Amino acid sequence: MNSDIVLQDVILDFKDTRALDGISCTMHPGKIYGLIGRNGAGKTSMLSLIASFRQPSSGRVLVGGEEPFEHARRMEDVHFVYSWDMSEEDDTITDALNHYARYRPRFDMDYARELLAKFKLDGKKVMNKLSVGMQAAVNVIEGLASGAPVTIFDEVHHGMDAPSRNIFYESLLDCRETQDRLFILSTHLVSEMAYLFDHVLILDEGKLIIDEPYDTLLERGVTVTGEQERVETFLRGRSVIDRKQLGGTLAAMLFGSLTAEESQRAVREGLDISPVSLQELFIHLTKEAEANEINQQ
Amino acid sequence: MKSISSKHIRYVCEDNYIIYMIWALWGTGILLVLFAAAAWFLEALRSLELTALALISNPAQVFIFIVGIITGVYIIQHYVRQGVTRKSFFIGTAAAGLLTAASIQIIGLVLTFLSFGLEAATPFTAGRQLTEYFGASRGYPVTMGITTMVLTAHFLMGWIIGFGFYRYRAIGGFASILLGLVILGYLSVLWDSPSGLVTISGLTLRFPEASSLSQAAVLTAGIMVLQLTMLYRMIRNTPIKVQ
Amino acid sequence: MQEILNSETPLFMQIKEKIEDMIVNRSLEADQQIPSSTQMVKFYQVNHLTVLKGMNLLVEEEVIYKKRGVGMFVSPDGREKLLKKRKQRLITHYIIPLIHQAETLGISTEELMSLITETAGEEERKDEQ
Repeated sequence: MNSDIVLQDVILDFKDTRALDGISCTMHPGKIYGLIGRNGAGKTSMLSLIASFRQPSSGRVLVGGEEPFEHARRMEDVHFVYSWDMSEEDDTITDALNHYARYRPRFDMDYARELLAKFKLDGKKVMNKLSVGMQAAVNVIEGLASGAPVTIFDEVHHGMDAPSRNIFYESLLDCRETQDRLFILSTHLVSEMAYLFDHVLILDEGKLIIDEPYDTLLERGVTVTGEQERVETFLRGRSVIDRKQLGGTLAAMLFGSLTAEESQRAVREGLDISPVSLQELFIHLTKEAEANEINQQ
Repeated sequence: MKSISSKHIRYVCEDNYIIYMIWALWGTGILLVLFAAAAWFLEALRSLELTALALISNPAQVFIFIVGIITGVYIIQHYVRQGVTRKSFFIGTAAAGLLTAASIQIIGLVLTFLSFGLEAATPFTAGRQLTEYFGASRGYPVTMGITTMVLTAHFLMGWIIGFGFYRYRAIGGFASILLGLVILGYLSVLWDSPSGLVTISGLTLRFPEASSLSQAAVLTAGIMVLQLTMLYRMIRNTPIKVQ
Repeated sequence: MQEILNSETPLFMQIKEKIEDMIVNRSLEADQQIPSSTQMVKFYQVNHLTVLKGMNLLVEEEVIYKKRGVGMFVSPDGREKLLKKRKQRLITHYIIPLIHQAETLGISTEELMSLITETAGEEERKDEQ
């Protein structure tokens, strides 16, 4: 079944602020999308539209070719998981999961139990007695076991300890391998999750500044290090997103890949070429407004 | 595009109804304990004129009104989060409110029969009177039917107010409280003291007056239709907050 | 887990080498299935696309082959191919520099040969202990 997500020129306005400013992108099943942005960049707003929590002020949101808002079947297909206030929940974890399962025709209760065991959670525990990390784990289990063709995790890993996060990542990879689902992970903690992403979307102040497969995106970032003057000459005409200086040595981060010839030239001139991590790209692309100009080059 | 799922409507109705009834049973229990405690001290309460059914009708109005408010403020996001459309949620929840109002009548009936049993076994004297409408007692089925309608209207009013706060914050909330005062005021003059005049802090509003039981029933049904329309218009395209 | 890998060489090349190593040291035999990309992603904590890139290079070199819907397997002559390649690499990476180094130190080829035989003997004795 087709559950592509398409956003066309989406604008979302709140009273006096523009949360999303002309977003267009397409996402396909079978992939994990990393939605990255600083706090307030519009991540949750964008996800709210896909999950039919809101309607765009203008533009279109399509899931499987149809607008999901108030569309019974499409809304059932999209599962939006975020951390929510469980303090009023006096159900046990198992009861809550059973409750969710009724509304999600593809919910896999056996898998949910398996995950509970992996996270070492006791299903008989009452929801409002759970620690923040345990609540996060329950959210993760809900999303993974729901079987929903489109599953969104909006910063749900917050509060989880490192071993739990690892269980989350590994289980997500299992689901990705065996089920044809579309996952979106939103985060601003890029470094440890980067390896999960097939495709990266970077939001900055309501604009989508990056929409690229993980590998080609990383190929676009390089750091050139060497004697200051030589680096400067080499940099001429390129978009530099960060520079660091130590004495006469300059390390400049470029956005835009080098051809084989150019790398050879750099090496001949005694310059060091090293790859850039997604974390670094993210930090430097979103730190200033000029990021948009860079993307247009 | 179908905006409702009959399966979801049924589940929403069941799930809400179960929660409401758990609260209703707690409420009934607390009411009984209070009554027993009061009867211990007050001689007058040991012989009653009114049936349990009539006695609980006022507390039940307050109760179901509060249930409506809680519904408006807290419940919708849980269902939309589970992929339920607003329309399915609306229909299922309205049905659950109606069912709860009817069930409270059943509880009242059961309590009435229990009080008759208690009368046979103890010095306690059970009441025989039902709430009178337009100067006469109308028998159990009609009385229960009317009260179910009035309770449902209270539930819907609470829901409107709670949802007014949820969607439109303070301004919408207070506007819906004003509306609630008017509608509930009208509802009460319609049935309690047949007239069409509602006075709120000195301001008198004139509404259609009922001269018979059937007219009052029709007007009450009209109020419910109005409430449902308002609610659906507010709910059908509401944004859901991610908290 | 990324510490297993270094940051000098591109990651996909390192993944490729890791698979090659498994074939060379016979922990993967001919026609045996190699670990799935998901297993590799979990183990090395590198991106899926990186793993696939490494694997695809090995498919191109016909060291491994793809069975649609099943996975990747070691080619019957995969190990031979790798041994040949590694032998070549031994020559370019180690033997040629060794000879050059020996020349600058004024060590003759015969002397170098006997040094190698001697050292190899010592290593063998160490291993036996």
